[in-house]
Amino acid sequence: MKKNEIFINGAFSDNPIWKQVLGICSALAVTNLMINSLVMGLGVIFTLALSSFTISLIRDYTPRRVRMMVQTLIIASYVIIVDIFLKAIYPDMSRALGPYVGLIITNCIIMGRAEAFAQKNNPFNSLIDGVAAGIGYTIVLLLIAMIRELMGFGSLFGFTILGDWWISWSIMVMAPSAFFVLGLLIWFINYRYYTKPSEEK
Amino acid sequence: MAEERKAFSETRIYPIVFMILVALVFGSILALFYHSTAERISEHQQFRLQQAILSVFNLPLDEVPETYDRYIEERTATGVSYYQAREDTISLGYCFPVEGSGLWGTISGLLAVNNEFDRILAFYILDQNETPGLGGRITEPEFLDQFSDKEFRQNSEIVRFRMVPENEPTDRFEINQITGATSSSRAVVSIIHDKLQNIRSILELDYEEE
Repeated sequence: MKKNEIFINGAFSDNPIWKQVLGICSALAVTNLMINSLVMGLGVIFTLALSSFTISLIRDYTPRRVRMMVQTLIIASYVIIVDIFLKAIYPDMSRALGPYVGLIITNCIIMGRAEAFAQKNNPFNSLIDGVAAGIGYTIVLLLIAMIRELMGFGSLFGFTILGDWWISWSIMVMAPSAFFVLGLLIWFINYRYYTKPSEEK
Repeated sequence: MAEERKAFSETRIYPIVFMILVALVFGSILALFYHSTAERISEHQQFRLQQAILSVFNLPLDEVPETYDRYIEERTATGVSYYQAREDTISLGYCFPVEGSGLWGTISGLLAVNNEFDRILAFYILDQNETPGLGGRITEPEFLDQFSDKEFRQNSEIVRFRMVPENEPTDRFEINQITGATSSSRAVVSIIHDKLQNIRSILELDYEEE
């Protein structure tokens, strides 16, 4: 498989959220503000890329029976590194994300890519696949956050976009809105890009 | 040699040895990383707490550690640590760490009272997990400033603040609640009320000792 093919597959055609429907919990939780989504996305890209790379690097030596334990250990290590890094360098951001950073460990996309890709491919391709899946995830998060922040606060990245005439929708700030925004998004993308119109047959 | 190695990787002990090795390697990397940043993280936390304490006493915030050392004295009474602000020998008031449950999680903050213990100087929220945009608005100045210089005593009784809807005028012992976040607003008022009761006993005890 060519490198750009791996990238396109990971980020778009096999997008972790709208195609594989993985990592939904965090997509619901952190998407009420653009900035939270962006940082969460960057954290996931970093963890995903490096854990895929590392898992692929030691895949020939990893006994099959303990491979999941090894994967979890590696993923957890990188997540803790992200967490400590944020605490040390960006304490405000770390407070805003709160427990979500720790929850990257349970993000199914990371384990999913490790099992589906890194376990069978060379380290460099795994790295590309990890970055691609991470970017695919981040794009969806930002899309949802854009809708939610704009309607819930009238702002984007904290800058007021809609004026005083806009009455913020409180529901957009709370979890339920993430469910229907995400649902509509997945429906739209599947309808637009994955369903073959029967008329063309 | 190659044969021997292959044989070892098929033994039952190999997965265990492998797992221990991987755990050791990653464990040490994490330990190193943690160690090299621990000081920085605790400095951030220290700085934030000092800044918050200065802000509840309305002291200047441009040189936090210096101002803190000059004005604030850390004290303990009956196992509770609190802070007293002094300008030269004149006491400016007392500041207590506060904690209590909000709607979703723990709300923690600082509550400062004056020397006579009849007015709140200020209330500051350090941590909360309320719904962003609704209960999360308890950290906004529009809500928090209502507690600044707020009377809470009628004779010797500590009065519980009454809640009135947002944008309505408030009386002496009343607080405007946040629309759509009644529970979070109530939680803050309860936390403050409970702490005031607690502070009274602490201050009384402390002064009997002196």
